[in-house]
Amino acid sequence: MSDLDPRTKIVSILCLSTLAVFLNEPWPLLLLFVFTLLILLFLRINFFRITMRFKKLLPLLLLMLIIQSIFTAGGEVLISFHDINILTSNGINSALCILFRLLTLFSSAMIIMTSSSKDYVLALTQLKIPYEIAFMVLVALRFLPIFIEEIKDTLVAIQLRGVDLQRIPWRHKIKFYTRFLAPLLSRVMLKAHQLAITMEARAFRVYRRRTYLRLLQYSVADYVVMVFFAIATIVVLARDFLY
Amino acid sequence: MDAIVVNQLSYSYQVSGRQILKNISFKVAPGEIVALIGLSGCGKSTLCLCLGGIIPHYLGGELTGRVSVNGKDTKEYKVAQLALEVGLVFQDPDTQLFSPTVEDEIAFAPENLCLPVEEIGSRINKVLDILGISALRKENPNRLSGGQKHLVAMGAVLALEPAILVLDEVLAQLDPVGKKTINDILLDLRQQGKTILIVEHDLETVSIADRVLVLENGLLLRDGQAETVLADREFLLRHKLECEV
Repeated sequence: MSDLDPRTKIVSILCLSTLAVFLNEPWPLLLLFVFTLLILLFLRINFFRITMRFKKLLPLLLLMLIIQSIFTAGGEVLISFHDINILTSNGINSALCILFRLLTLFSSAMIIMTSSSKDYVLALTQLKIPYEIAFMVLVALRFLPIFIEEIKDTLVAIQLRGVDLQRIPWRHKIKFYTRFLAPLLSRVMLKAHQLAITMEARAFRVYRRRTYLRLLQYSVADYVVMVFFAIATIVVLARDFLY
Repeated sequence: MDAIVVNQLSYSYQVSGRQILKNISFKVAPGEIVALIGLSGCGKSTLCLCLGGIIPHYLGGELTGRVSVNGKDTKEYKVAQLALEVGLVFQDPDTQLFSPTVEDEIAFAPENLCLPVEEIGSRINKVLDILGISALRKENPNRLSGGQKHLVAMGAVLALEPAILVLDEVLAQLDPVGKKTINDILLDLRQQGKTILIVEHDLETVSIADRVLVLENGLLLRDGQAETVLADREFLLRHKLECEV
């Protein structure tokens, strides 16, 4: 499945995300999440990598769970304080829905990682999107790790000058971050500008169209997967709306 | 026709307003290797940007005089059009590599030229062979060593098959073996009729040049045969291009 056309992967991500957004019951959403996890394993994405990603999301997920549980009224009251309902069955339902929905959305997005950025450029251009825009996506993907590296380098440079960021109070910390954000952004902008010059100096946009070393071609497996996802999405959504 | 003609070129950056190039004139014949040397900040890289048309098209500022490459005035042609004549390799390879594999990186330029797939493939093979990096074909350029990155950046430009090659301090970050490899490649390219301008401040690395241009504070101080200029120790010491041992 990792050899599937990137366009097929885009369709599968769209279907999974659509289902995650429209389904409103914890059990179907849990099944959808398990199904997405199986796809990831099938695509040979390292299980450790998946769990590490989820670990980073844990505080956000816990916060969502607590907020949804407390602020959703209705259903059977499970915990109350005087006249105030703190936890209800609807609150738990809603929290579980949010949890499985977010997990499905994040894990389905990981399908993207199984093809190279150049493949997505090809996919977008073959979907008739102008090649300038497709390359903008490629450059954005290229610059994300550079941006993260720049942040890490700046933080290390600050700490090497004797500033312990862990110990300074929040008020000063915010001041610190705003001070280093401006030069950081200017450095990244400068790199982006240099990259744009490099591309132009390699005859980018010299003609209105361009050719490609290889072109993407759908295989039988691509058609099967796309038809499966399309039918499954329509059936599940129709069942959900009708009943 | 001369490959490069620079006639009374002066340039000031927009922000600082400081004149970085002052009334420079020189010509480079086809098939010549010319070294441009000078201390940091003397205007070497700015001159390279002028040759590729990046100045004035991208960086603005005030440019007077004329620069032409293979008969094309850099003011009249876009950077992408000038790229067909001049291949620019910059100092920092990290801002020149953006594709997921070395093969894709080298294919980028021929793809822009709308070449057929077979021709793109043959140019990739040719460049990989010339640079001796065929084994890196499927590697991610960002995970290569500094020297290998420079080779890939150079390969990406060579795939355009420009008649003129401008290397802006490409050798500076290389070890002696890497420098020798690139020097050998440049000599081979000269045999194929390419015109090469090497910008450096290390005199040892420019020994392959036929001619040397010396820049100081934006002025073209000297233009002469490489053996003559490099043998003039008194001149080099006076202008801090060499140190007393």
